[in-house]
Amino acid sequence: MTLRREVVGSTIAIVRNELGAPELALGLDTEAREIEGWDSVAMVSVILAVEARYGFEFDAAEMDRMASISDFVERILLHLERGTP
Amino acid sequence: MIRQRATPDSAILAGFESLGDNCELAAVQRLHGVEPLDLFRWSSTSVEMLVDALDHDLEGLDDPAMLSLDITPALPGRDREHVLRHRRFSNYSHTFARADKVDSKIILEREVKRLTLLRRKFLFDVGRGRRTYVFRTTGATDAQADQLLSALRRRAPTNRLLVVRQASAAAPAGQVFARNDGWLDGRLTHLAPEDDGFLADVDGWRELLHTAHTLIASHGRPYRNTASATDRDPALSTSQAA
Repeated sequence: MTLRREVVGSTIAIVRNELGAPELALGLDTEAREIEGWDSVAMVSVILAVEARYGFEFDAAEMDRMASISDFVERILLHLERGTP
Repeated sequence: MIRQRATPDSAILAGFESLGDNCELAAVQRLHGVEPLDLFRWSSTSVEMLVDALDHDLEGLDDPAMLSLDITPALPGRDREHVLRHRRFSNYSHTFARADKVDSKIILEREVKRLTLLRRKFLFDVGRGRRTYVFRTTGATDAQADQLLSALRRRAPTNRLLVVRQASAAAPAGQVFARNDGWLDGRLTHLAPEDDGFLADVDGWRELLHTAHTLIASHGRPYRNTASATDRDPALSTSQAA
């Protein structure tokens, strides 16, 4: 499995878990605002879960730019490539 | 939960960050599908509390020893909710966790983590000086607005403040004035009750924020007009209808 596929899979799993919706249909292009039950509380929970899963912290500017599953995946990959804590 | 849809107003509404004093702006943003990660969005606040927090790096805000949960009273048509009490700053925040469904220990642990993240983000944003903060109030005086702006500008001199209050004969609804002391003075026909921001004047808020956005865009930042001795500079006032 490529790193990208792993990150996509884990990001989707995290979102489903944090929203308590294991069957939620999600894809790379899914926008956060399109997701049933999504709000700022859910967003914080997902960010915290991603940070815990991958061991780095998003900076504030990144948080403001994350509006889709794809945004999360790209930022995670960037951090992993840089090896930033 | 509400399925959120972007509207043409969403981008403008997302450009304003609530500092309280209740969740009225947060509710208006939510009704437009805007869900910013703003620390005080769902909190009760006061000028005194905010100045204290700003001047002390929000220390203690996410200290578990300073946090506890209360449960809202049983009211017809409303779920009872865990409400977070911050003893350090004597204020409250919504958790949106139903008291009958989620254990308080789980919520408290979640809120500590959430506050840590949002505190980190708030300090970064307020230090950059690129935000327009909004303080909605029924009681704050002009002098208190000055104090709040000063505290924001001690963090970064380009921070902006819009103070939203009820309209009066001298300050009609829908208009936004750039005050000589640097903050924006906006008025609404009515403000929502303290305990229910979702009863906001949604159209009024939308128009007010559009007007403030236009004013900011046309005059740059920060607002400071020292040329006039008058309280308000008509040249820098505008309204949606104008």
